[in-house]
Amino acid sequence: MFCSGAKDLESVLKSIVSADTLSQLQYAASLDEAHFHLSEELWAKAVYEFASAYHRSAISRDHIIQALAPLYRGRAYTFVTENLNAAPDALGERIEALCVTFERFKPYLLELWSAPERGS
Amino acid sequence: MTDMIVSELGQAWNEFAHGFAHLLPRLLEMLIIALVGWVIAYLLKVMLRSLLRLVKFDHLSERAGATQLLSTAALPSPSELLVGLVFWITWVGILLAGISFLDIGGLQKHIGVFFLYLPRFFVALFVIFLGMLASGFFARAALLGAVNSDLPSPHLLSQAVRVLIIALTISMAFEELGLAQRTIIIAFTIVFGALMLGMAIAFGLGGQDLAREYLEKRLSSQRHERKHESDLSPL
Repeated sequence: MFCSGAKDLESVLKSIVSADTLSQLQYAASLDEAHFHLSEELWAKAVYEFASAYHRSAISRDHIIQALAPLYRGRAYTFVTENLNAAPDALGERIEALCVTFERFKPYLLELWSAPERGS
Repeated sequence: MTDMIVSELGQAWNEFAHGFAHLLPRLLEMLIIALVGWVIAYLLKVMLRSLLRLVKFDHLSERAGATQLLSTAALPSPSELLVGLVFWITWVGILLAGISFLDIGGLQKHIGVFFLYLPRFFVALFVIFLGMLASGFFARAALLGAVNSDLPSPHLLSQAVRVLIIALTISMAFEELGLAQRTIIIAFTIVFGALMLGMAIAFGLGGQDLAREYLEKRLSSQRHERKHESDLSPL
């Protein structure tokens, strides 16, 4: 679903995420199942860009949420494959690491949030 | 004989001079009206552009997908298109009012028809604009729904929704303009009818088991509900 989503929703994703994020997502979608990987950094960046698009109502807000679903599936797949045999403690550490990544990217969110609205 | 010719020529010249003297002030009036009309149209253009920027008209159009549609057709942004249209219609309208001062026989009637046609033209434009917004919105909704439901050919579905809404919009706009009403209505009825019939046949043949299952489930649940209601009824 992630692969078809990144390909078919290109026109929608263009109005939500940056060109750089979109190309990285499309690259991830081009990988085969065995090598598929949606990194924490890319996921955090994409989520913040979605949040910013929702904030400025880039397109209909319902559509923004719906467009996030395939990306979430991709990230969930990566998380499950990475932690398939992980012990509960290691799993906790991975989740903590993801939280740290989101914290690390917070200035990026602030930058997006305060950026002047497109077209104004 | 010569005197007669000279007299006729003189009379013709006098008539021409009289006509020209009669027309010249009107021509000047028309030119002044055209100039004033241009100034009014320009002011209106500036005011409308500011107003559209204030209400974030382009942003609204972008959200609804109308901007992308216009850029695909190599047209300017929706606000520039609207501003340009208002400018030209205002100027041409005032220019025509000025031309009517020339008092040319038959022209008055056509100018009257043009002015009567303007409101219908604006309504048709408004219908087209709304249709474009709706087509962009619903095409995107169909695309997202199809991708998230893992349906095959989501783009085809999305484009079908877009084309259907645009066809409906164009037929409504043409009906408003009074252009080829019958042809448009008949064409739309045939296309819409064929599409619905095609879908019904496709569903009936391809999904008859699904339809039977759905109806059985629905009818049995209704029967069950009715039975349940009668069980509870104090009567």
